Formats: sequence, structure tokens, C-alpha cells
Amino acid sequence: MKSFEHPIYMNNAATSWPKPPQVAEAVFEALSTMPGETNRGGVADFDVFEEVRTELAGLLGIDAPCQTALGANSTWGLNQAIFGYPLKPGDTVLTTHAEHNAVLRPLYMLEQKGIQVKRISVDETGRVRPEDWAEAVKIYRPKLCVLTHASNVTGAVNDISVLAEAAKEGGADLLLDVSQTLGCIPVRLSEWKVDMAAFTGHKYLLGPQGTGGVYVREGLHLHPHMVGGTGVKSDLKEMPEEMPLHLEAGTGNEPSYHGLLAALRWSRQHPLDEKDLQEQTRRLSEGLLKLGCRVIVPDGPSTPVLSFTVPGISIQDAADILTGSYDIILRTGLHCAPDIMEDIGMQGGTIRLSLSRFTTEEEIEQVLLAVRDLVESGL
Amino acid sequence: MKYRCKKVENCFAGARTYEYELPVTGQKLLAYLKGWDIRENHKFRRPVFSAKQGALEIKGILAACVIKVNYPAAGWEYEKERLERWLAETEAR
Repeated sequence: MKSFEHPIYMNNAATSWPKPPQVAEAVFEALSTMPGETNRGGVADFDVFEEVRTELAGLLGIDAPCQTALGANSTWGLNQAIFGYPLKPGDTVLTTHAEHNAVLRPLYMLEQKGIQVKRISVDETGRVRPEDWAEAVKIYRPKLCVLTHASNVTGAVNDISVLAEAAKEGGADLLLDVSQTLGCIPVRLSEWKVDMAAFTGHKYLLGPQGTGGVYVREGLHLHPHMVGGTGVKSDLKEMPEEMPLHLEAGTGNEPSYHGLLAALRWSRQHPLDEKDLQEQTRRLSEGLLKLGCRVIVPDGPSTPVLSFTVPGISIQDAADILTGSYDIILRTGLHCAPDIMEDIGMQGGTIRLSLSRFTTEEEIEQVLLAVRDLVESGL
Repeated sequence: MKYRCKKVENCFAGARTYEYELPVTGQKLLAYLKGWDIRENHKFRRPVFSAKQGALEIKGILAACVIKVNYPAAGWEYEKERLERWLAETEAR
């Protein structure tokens, strides 16, 4: 048997690891340096949030960096968007079974306030069927549509240009969850006419946890979900009207944003080889299929995420052995996306492997050897 | 024997899985489990074991000091108390 000397990290859809070394260095440097001046702005001021916004604008495909509010994570951004969007009792929100609890739970709360929420099923690989989406828009006439760019369970990427167009034709605004895609595949919010988008820094952007936010298109006014100090315009009783201040109450996570900035700059200098990552994912997927595993393999575009089960072995047992005996770090269960499981025929959950640009061929080979042992174990 | 117990936070519906850190390895623990249905599997890089008695099943790595128990839905609190009492009353040798 080949030796397994190091843990194999395949949980990048949760939190990416490793990070470029510059990320930790930047966080350390930020914590070791005297905090910035008490007043914002000025020629000599280095505003890490402003720098991050500028870097992000290119990745998000938007022109105005100031339309991006920065906070703690995607959940923060989704809550700002869902609770801040002007909805009233009787209005309808359209969403899908592929959504994460960061979308589902805020929507359950809206339902309790008289908002109607319609959820459409996805195909057996976790992708939204454009015809179902367009029909639902016509039937339900939603005011707001909330949709993930890619399933965090199967990796299936949705065709946002088509789905956004259908939403627009129905007169709805669109909130897109790009947590699983930003930094991994192209995102073009302006081109797609997306109205709002929530993202996180700790997945494929390679930044630290505690970073993320929400983009809001110019002209769309959200009611701030959180209010508090902004460091400027302190005489106002309400949050300043201009973005991003409008949604950014309280002291920001400056050290982590220094880390995210370092990650964004590193990624710009070291572009991701999408084809290579797709090839690695395909190799893993084919290997698992050859071993007799049930694997969800989306046709067409997908992120480097694979959900599978091993016939005859419980998900929990399989995962315990892969992690305990082989040091493979993965994720099992419902992946915070409970509604998708029935649609993809995995009611009990899945074992999820998620790769990154740092995943090696040897690691994939080692994972396949471990699964082979599992299949042949007679458990 | 003294143990440290912590619930395993996972993403399964209705999970009742707990980990116990013991002063002995799984291999040594098996010697205390008289009358349990014990299975060892040495086909893995780190061999594993399972031990079953009634609705209670203990699993772990033979060479490790951490065991995992997924308590059954029915009467799981009773089973948890039963196992923990047994652990507390068993003298580690």
C-alpha cells in the first residue's frame, strides 16, 4: 500500500485550505501594527476595505466598487439582502431546492411575516432547469428571486444569464449567492443584470474566515438589517444613505480583510487554471464511479465539488474510516442544503469531496486507494 | 475510567453522535467489553473496530484513544447514561 504521510484536505467548499502564505503574513502584520487613524479618509490613509472592494469589483464583474458592502461572510450578506429588500406581506419570493440554509432560514422567517416563498425543484444533479424557472416566474410573479450560482452539494453551475433574463422578464429582482463560485469560475453580475449578490472570502477567494459581503446594484435601496456606528456622519440618527456605509455598521474585521486583500492580489498574480481543476475533478469522479460508488456528476459546468456514497456502507461509517484511517478531510451529511437531497436522490445525505487549485494528482490517487480499501473491506 | 465526552457536530438530520476520549486505546478497551459483539477490520491503514451490545454500538480506530458512539433514536439518553456509568465504574488497567 502507498504511504499516506499528510492529511488530504478536500473540504474546500466549506473553507479553502491551504491559503497562500501571504494571507497569514498579512493578518499577522495587521494585528502587529498600530490600528489606523480614528478618522476615515485622507490622502495618506490606507483603507483596506476600499482596496478589497476595488479588487473584488473585477471578480464580480461590476463597475462601482462602492456598491459592495463588506461584513462577516455570505450569511451576513444574504441576511442584509433578504431582510433589507423592500418586501411586504403578500409579496412572493421565488427560490430553489438547491439553496443553502443561509438562504432558506431567512426565507422561513419572511414566510412568518406573510411573505409567500415558492421553491422549485432542481434536476437530479442539483441544477435549476431553466424551463421550470421561467414557468415559475410566469406563474408566481415574484418580486424577488433568490438563487445559488452553483450547488454546494453537487457543484452543478446554474446558467445565470438565462435564469436572470427570465427573472427580469417577469419583473423580479435577482439575488445571487456566489459563495461557491467567486474565485473559482467567472462571475459577471453587471452583464447578467443581477441586482444583488452575496459572497464569502474564505472559500475560493482563499481569504480568512470572517470576510464576505453583498453587492447591491446602483438604484436599489436596501433597508439596513443592522444599524450602528459608521465612524462618519455621527450626527445622523439613521445610517448614512450612501453605499457602502449604508450597510456597514460597526467596526470591520480589519486584520482578516488584510488577509483577504493579500489573497486577492496573490490570485490576480497567479490565475487559477480552471481546466486543470476540472480535469482533477473529472479524474476523481471517474475513479469513484469505477469503484462502484454512486456519484452525482453534473453535465456541463461544475465547481470542483463531488457528492457520492459507497454502496452497502453508511455515509457516516465511510466518512469515519476515510478520515480516521486515512486522514482525508471531507464533509458528510446534508451540507446545510437539506431541500436538495430528495431531488438528487440522496435523502440520507452524501459524502462530499471538494478540491482546490492546490489539490495534487497524488492526493486524488490516495483518496481513490482509500475508497478502494473501503469498497473491498467487506464492511 | 476517566473520559472526556463531546457531541460531534455534523450535518445529519437528528444526529446523536458523541466522541469519548479514553485513557486507553480502542484495542485495550475491547478487553473490557466481555459479551459484546466485537468486530475488527484490519484492511484499513489504521485498523478499526466496532463493538455492539443491544442498541448500543461503539466504533473507533484500534490504535486511537477516541471512540465514537451514535446513539439510537429510541431511548438514546438512557443508553448514553448507561455507557457513561459503565465507563466511570470501569477501572482502567
